[in-house]
Amino acid sequence: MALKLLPLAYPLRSLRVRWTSSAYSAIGIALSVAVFSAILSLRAGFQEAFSETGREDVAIYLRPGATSEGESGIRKEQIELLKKGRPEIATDADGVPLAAGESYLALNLARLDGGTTNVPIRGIEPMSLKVHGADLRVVEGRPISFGADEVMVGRPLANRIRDCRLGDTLQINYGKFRVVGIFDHGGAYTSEIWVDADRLAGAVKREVRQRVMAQMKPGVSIETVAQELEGDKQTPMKVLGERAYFASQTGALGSTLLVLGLLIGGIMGIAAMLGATNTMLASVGSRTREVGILLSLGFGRLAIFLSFLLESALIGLAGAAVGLLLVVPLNGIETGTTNFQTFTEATFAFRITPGLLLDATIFAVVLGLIGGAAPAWKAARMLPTQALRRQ
Amino acid sequence: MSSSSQDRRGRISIAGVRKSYTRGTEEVTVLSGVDLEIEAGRVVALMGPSGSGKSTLLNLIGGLDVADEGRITVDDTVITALRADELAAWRSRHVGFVFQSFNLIPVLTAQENVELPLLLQPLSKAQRKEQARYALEIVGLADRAGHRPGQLSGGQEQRVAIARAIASDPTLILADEPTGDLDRTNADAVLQMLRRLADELGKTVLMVTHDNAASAFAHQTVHLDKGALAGVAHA
Amino acid sequence: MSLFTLLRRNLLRHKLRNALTALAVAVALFLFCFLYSVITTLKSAVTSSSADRVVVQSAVSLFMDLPKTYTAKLADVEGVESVARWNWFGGVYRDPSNFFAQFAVDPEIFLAQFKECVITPEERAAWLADRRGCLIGRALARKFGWKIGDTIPLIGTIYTRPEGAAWEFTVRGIYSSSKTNLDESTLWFQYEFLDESIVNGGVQGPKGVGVFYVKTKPGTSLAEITQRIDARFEGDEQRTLTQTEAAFQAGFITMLGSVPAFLSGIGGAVLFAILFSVVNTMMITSRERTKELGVLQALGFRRAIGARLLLFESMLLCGLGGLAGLALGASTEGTFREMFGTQIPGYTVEPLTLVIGVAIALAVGAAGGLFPALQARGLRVADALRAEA
Ligand SMILES: Nc1ncnc2c1ncn2[C@@H]1O[C@H](COP(=O)(O)OP(=O)(O)OP(=O)(O)O)[C@@H](O)[C@H]1O
Ligand SMILES: [Mg+2]
Repeated sequence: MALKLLPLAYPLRSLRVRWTSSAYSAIGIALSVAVFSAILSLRAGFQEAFSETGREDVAIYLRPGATSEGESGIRKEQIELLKKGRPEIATDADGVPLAAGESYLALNLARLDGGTTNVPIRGIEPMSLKVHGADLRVVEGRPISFGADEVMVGRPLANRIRDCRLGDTLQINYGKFRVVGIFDHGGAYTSEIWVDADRLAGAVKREVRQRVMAQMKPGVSIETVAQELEGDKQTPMKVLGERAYFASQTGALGSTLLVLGLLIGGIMGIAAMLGATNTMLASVGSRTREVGILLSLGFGRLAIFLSFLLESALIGLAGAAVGLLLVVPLNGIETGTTNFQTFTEATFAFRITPGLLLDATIFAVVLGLIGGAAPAWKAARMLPTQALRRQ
Repeated sequence: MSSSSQDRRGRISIAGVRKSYTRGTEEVTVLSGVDLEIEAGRVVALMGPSGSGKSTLLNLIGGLDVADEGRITVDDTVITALRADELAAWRSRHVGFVFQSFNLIPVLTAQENVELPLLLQPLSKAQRKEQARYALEIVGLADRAGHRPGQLSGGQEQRVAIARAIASDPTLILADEPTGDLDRTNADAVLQMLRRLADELGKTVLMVTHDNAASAFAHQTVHLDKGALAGVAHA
Repeated sequence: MSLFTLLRRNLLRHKLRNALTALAVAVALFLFCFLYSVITTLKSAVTSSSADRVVVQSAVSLFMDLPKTYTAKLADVEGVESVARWNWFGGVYRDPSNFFAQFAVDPEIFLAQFKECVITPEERAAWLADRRGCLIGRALARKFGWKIGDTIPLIGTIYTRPEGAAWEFTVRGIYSSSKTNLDESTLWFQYEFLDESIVNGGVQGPKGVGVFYVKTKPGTSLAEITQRIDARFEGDEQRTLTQTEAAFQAGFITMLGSVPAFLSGIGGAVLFAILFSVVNTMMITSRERTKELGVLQALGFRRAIGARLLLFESMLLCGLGGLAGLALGASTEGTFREMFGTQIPGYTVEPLTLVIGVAIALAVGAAGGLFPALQARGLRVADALRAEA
């Protein structure tokens, strides 16, 4: 026997009749969805900016034991030895190794909206620009010239940090550096200030560099290089791919955001679900007679169960739509927090991705379904005589 | 009952009462100038086709609704001149309502339902209990005092509702189709009871009814049609 | 029998629905209590900061060390009572996820400056006598099950020993803190030991001093001494940034950027969502109660009574739910303190937070009941009586 289903119009009409109540529980779900997806879109933006960028053919050399550049320190002699002596490093047309000894420091700078923060500054060499040239766009001004007290600043910093606009002068210890360019990079470097490594060393009186960044020859396995250099006598180094390095720097913040999103979104979701259950209970309660009539007309329990369940799923769907409408304007808004793994300010934007839209919608519908399951079950379990008798 | 109709209380006089509702843009005249005198201590049946304005008139007398025009006086009180809160206070002292669908509060027991209007009277807790008890005795349900409405039959529910209506010893009992949901036997018992309220306790009882048998229990039957008086018959 | 009987019975009539609503409020208030306590805990480090200490760091970067020669120069600045060197160590115990703070400090001066660091005289003597000894916080000891005499191996990330060998510190004392500016999750060891290891122990790492904690003489103006110190080092090797301890601590909070605002935003959204849930329930309730309200009026109760009953019912419901949520929030204080021992050290639920919570719960109840109550007020008796049960 075929299942006699109730027409789709039935739950729709019911939603319309009780529209205030339906709307309230939809809004409850919408707000949960909004918070849930806001946090996750922050994480998506963060991942887009950090973890998922970085090149597979670029290797990072750090001092053994260091987990980030801030902790690392490599003497200049060692840097020269590495650049000249390592066979895995690619060379340019003139046979010069595509490698740079870079310094890194978290500058204590004032934020435009008050307070101070730690902004990473990277001392670079000409080869840094050559290796990253393809991914890095100077959107205003020009790149720094080496040998001059000049800096170029990542685009999001220009609007957040004092003295970082084109033409400003940034003081570092006793050095006065002119901002000559604003650059954009699809990844983590956008949060940095770039400067000539030698000029920076002069200003802060610190010769030691933090890492060597080098482009690998085609086919080189970074893992093999890492094993080789781990116990090296002359230049012991910790080597990892650029992509893996970024991921290791941001893993904790990324997972904190994920946990935060799931935890807070989840707790709010529970509250919203309870609201949906109430709406559905009321809906079922006030239609007791109606259910009795449907049952006596020959509709099955499953049909009634499904019809009520559909009603609550629709509430969830409406909630998803409203909730996503609330967060979509966040897309692209830049914000920042300190990444406590590196203790530096990480700037990133809210990113609403298609995957996130789908997750949020599923989240909302599931909330609606769970909220509606018990009331729908209650409706389906009624005895026709009972249902008809009850006022 | 020795008191003469002059010193009995519960005399109603209605003069030129009009009432209309607006439904959307359309204006519906429900009462188009009703004049009526009801003597104290009488049972009056208000009859007429559905939609003729019976309930509306009853509600106006009980002060549940406000007339557009005209004047309703109960004894010395011109109720059409009272404000909402004054009306509520007046109702609590002078009017008892009985509804077709009983309208007992489902979460309260019979005893508590009857006590409810007594909360508005200057009575002690014990007095309230006592008086509610007495009202239940009058309707013959003292043994059901602890039951909730859901545990009573329709006829019993309506008798509890009557007990509630008389608990605060009002002058006026207003009943809207009190037997509408009851079978013949129960309906007759309720009608009998309403008649006794007038005969033995001197209350004025005004009941809206479709039940032709009801006129047998009334001193007077008033017919309403399309919002106007269509005739008055004395028993 | 009184109107309260009616209220109580009505609340119990729809046990499931009202329980769900109260539960929703409880969940929201629990979340509020947690989020708000995170913020107050973070801020308490600032408010409880000492009024006689200032912190000297490099003006360039918190991670740029200052020359060791600055120690003596600082001691000569007018108004300075004592100077303690602090270096962030950043060692890893077994796995990076076991993160906790470690500092190399001048032990005697540190203990003299931080009276809030409470240890017994025996522990104090034992630590001062052992160059490789360390002092650990009570929370830290509990978390890892360390006792006095245990050895803690740490892999250096900033200060690396040859061949990546572990540093080993022996626990000589377990401190408790008498003020919230000092957490109980830190390890302290002797600066001299660190310095000696760099100078002739083959250890690699920065050779300077991370920050100086300076205790000022009584009666010294903090505003003046911070300026005096910075002026003293203007033109010297490294420019300095000197801040009061409160400002230094506040710096860590501003580093969180929009996080506190974000948490507040979430808290607001949660309460807003709950408000809708409560309004929803109360609307359902009032719709069901419409006829009852009509009956009450027909019996001669004033129109406002019905509305007040609804409002009161709503506030009672939310008040009870709120109390449950806050009770949970207060009773999980210890659990969260353990759980977030290193991220949010000293997690504390302040009494004021609970008071605010109760006020919010009642306000949500009032707001949730208000709309239906107003609707009930506006209802005409005759219409109410015509309503479906
Ligand atoms: N609040 C209202 N708004 C609009 N129209 C109303 C309202 N109350 C009553 N009416 C209309 O007034 C007319 C009279 O109603 P009323 O309830 O007085 O009739 P009735 O004589 O009691 O009928 P019945 O015997 O069916 O109870 C009807 O047409 C009804 O639709
Ligand atoms: Mg009628």
